[in-house]
Amino acid sequence: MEYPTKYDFYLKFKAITSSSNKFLDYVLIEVSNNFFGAVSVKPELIIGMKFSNLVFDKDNSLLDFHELQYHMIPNSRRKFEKYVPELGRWYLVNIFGDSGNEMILFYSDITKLKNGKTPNQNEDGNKEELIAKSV
Amino acid sequence: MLLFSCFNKWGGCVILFINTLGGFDVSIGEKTLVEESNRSYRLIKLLQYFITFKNKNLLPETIIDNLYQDNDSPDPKNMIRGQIFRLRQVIKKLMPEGAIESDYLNITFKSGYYCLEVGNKVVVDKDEFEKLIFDGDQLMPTDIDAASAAYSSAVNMYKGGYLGDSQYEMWLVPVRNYYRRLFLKVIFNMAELLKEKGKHEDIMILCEKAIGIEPFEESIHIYLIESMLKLGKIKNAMSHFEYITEVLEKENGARLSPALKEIERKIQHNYNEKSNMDVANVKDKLELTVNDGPFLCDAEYFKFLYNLHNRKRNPKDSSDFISLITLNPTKKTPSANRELIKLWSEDMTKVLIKTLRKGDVFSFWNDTQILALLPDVKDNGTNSIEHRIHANLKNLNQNNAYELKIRFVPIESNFSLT
Repeated sequence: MEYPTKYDFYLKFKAITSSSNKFLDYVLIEVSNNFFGAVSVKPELIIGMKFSNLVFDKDNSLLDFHELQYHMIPNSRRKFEKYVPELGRWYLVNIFGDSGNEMILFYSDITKLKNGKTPNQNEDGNKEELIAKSV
Repeated sequence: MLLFSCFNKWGGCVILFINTLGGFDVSIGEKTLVEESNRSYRLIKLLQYFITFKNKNLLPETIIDNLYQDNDSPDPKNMIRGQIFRLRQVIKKLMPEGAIESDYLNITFKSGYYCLEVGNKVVVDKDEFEKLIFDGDQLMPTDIDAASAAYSSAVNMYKGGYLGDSQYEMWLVPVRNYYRRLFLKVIFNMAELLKEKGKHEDIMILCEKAIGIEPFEESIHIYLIESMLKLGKIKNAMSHFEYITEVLEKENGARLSPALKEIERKIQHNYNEKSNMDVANVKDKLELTVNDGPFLCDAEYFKFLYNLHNRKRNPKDSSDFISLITLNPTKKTPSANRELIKLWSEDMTKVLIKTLRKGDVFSFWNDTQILALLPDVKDNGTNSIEHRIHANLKNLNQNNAYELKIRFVPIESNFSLT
């Protein structure tokens, strides 16, 4: 079974470390070509920003990094399901940190798999659900 | 304090208070977790982890990844199970007798996930801190005094980095960054509110308090120096400026940022204003140095000069140019070669000072690019300038042939540098 990939996109980050090689933050260095088409956020407005600043960037807050931020550390690999109400789409968000200093956030559109369902409003308002972890 | 007034008794029930900002402690009535110093470091770390991710489902593998990466236990899941069992015992001991676990802290295991459920008799300072800032943000457009009071309470709650600054754990970094950003946001919001009201003394007090927690945050120092200038404390402003530039250079190896350069100008301006000036010494004060060649300045000042020039020039005049000189334009990362860049910067400064005219201005836009403002270039003069730059550079440094790209763009009135 093949699924549409038109709205899949990724963001690539590079780690900022201290002189003693301690991890301090990430900086966004690259987004996929279709990023603007998928989420209507201009890449030039966010590339070069630190992740800790992106969390507070109200103008481009569509991706709700607030919920993901705690997992943005080197070597971490996580998967989340996430509903983005502004886009009306479900995403499987893969956080993929390598042992070096790069981190990729990959958003796979799974709206079709969800059959267009929206999250239940009564679910404690928490639209994010941890579903699995790839190791 | 807001929390102390409610944490001993709340509707007749004892409240468990969790302190996370600037340190870590869990206290209920007279009992605190810190006092019971025989608690294992690992258990405390596990509790901190659960409190950070309270009310969230956590996979055992994630906990192992974040907390026990160096552990070589053959069965880490079993080890976690044991640790959590002991942690439950510790929490139980801390609870009042006969207390219902779900009212306080309850670690559950459902569908393969651990979760620390926090009941309604628990107050976590980070949640209060966030709530106060949220309230302040909401009140800001309608009630500035109430917003200010909420922000002020939030500032008082933040005693330092999340779980204290001494402990370094990778998983703690994003959380710590988040609360640090929140604290800085509230400081800046408060400083702006106080600025609007002209309460410069209060800004000084606020900034001095914030600097105690965030000593290397440049913007706080700038607010402090600005308020000193407003209060006429110019000598204090000057000595604080000298102190902070030295500290930042030592700590970060960074030269003056554009914002600090701007504040330096403000100090200088205030200093000049205060000293008596008459017509006889106006010329001395305005003319700083004698310079027959082009003017070399920083990027910020170049923007200012360019935009000023653009405003006063005749829009129909097509003889003004901007020139962009790029080192190694075809190679992707010349910035990695620090020695080459240093040598190139020195050589180009000498060459441009020799080649350009008195009215021209140039600036190092970044490590590998130079911008030059060339007014009134007539009769195909750009070709001649390009030729002279190449020739002078070759004469200066025969051994090192730099790969340069020089472009000239006529200035148009609708183009401004920001």
